[in-house]
Amino acid sequence: MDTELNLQTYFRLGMLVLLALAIGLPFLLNEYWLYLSVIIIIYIITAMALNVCLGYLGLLNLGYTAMFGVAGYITALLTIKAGLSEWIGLIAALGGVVLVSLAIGSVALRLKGVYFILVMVAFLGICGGTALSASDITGGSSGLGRLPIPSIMGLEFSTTFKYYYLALAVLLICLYVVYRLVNSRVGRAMAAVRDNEDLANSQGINPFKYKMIGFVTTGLLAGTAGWLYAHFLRFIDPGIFGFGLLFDTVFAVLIGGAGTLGGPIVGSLFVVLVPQLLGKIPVENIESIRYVIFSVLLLATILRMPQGIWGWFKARYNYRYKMSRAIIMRSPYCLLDEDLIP
Amino acid sequence: MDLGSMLLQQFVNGLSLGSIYVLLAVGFTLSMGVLKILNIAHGEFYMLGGYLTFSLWSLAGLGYWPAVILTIPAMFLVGAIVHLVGIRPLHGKGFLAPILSTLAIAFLIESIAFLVWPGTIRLIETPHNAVVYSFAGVSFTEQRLLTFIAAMVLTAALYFFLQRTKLGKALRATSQNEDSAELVGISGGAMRLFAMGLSAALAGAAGGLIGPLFSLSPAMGMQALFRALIVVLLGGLGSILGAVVGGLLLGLFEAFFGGLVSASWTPVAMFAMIIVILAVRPRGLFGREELD
Repeated sequence: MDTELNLQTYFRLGMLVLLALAIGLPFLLNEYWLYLSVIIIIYIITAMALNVCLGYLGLLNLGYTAMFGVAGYITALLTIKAGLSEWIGLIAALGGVVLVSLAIGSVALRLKGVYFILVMVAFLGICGGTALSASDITGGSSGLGRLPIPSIMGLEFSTTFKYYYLALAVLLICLYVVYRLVNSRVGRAMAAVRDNEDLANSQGINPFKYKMIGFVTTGLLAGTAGWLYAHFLRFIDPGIFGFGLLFDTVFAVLIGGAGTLGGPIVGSLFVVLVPQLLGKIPVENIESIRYVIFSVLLLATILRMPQGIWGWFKARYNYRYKMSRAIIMRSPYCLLDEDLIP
Repeated sequence: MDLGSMLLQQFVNGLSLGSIYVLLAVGFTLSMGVLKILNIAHGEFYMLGGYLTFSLWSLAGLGYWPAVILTIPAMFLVGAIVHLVGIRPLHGKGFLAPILSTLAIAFLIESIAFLVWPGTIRLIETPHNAVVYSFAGVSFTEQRLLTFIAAMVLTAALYFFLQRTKLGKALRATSQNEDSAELVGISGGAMRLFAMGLSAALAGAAGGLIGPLFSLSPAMGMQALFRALIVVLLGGLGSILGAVVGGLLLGLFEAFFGGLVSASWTPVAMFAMIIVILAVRPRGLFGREELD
């Protein structure tokens, strides 16, 4: 009992230190690293979006970056073409993403296994193809530029330094929302659906309903990240519907630890910072080499450590979970040998 | 050119394109049926087959047909290696893990291809490309005709292999019910390995055959994967004849839509087709209650 309390105290202290670090960080960094920090935050929110589907619902949603792009395009169109405020853009983007999620979810979530993955990938393809081909609205492959800089009550987030705090505030809200969601009755119902859909159904949990809740949450989080991204770069193009962002965030979630709150954070730090180290090596095609390394790491993670880095730490240092090892060694997408023994 | 001969021209183009899709999809449906997984790396096998044929042809100085024929066993080996490294260790560990590992392998193969064959567009030049047949206002190169024939011959060979030979029957038995197949002495593990190799070999052959018709690019794998998926949805999972019908239909659809409506909207139309098919028929047009 003592050990548990101590560990929990340490954990909370650690979180406070991390928060203080996140708030103080911009004073220590130069412009380039500040820029990367904002990108990391956007990646974290995007990876959290995937994590809600993959980690807490066990749905491999390979089309969720479409919501990121849809939100980005909605806010870009409303602010540039209609001249509306960026906050109306945010509300419209999130509303649009919810509607789109409900529409595509009502088809996709009724399907099982591979068919769900298929519909989501097809949806991503439709969004990317439309953004590319409907060039009189979306600007085609050159995209839409010069989005307005968000401002609130006269405070303009015009520098990277200021934008960092906007992004951090959004991240904290998202973290809080996900934390409350997964630790609520709804979150437990989602986990029940993930672990055994038929059993959950027999206990009065409607799988479709809870899948839809998670699915829309994924869309909302991805849409929020898309809005942050579009107004940060002040530019959006069909490239965001491509495989780059999708692979990076799948990688971030899996290597960080699917189904954990810290996993997407650790994974996103990894996925943005490691290429910076690689960038120091003067080799041609460094981007392809990065993908080779990341693919091998991803494969190794799936084969050898499916609970991810954060899951591994949790298993090692969390006393409560150590007592029942079977629970923590679980990975939401891969059964382990321990699970297979009846 | 009048409308009639233009339609006929699109029909001929669609058939030759469709024959490649057939070859791509029979391998895909085979691996889905026997291994019960969604192999996201299947399109990359196709891309790799195209590049292997290209390299054998341009670097090793082989003729085009010997290059294609050598590509097939080489891709069998690649498929077997992928199975041993990324799929077999995850057997029986759930539905998602092998899909995710083939996703990682797909990106690995694609980024290696970007490293090995960077930059310029690659097209295999064969003497058949110079011979053009034309009648009734329709013209096509000898290469297109030979590609169509080669793809159909390979598909027919696969069909007879699965129907008539002992090994083929063992594969089908494993696909229908692995436990029962094991009871009569068929090794499930060996069949899965063999199916994966065969599937990669067929995809590689399709890639080798597309080389002289369209230029190769490392990104073509993912596009090919979607087409294979659509064909399987059209034709039904695990069905070779369904894949033939579905592949030719998709080729025709792509040629007609691209030629008559809009080439840039073709991918969107195909993706929309996937969603519509699945919204109406949740297991594909002729789907059965198998893979979950």
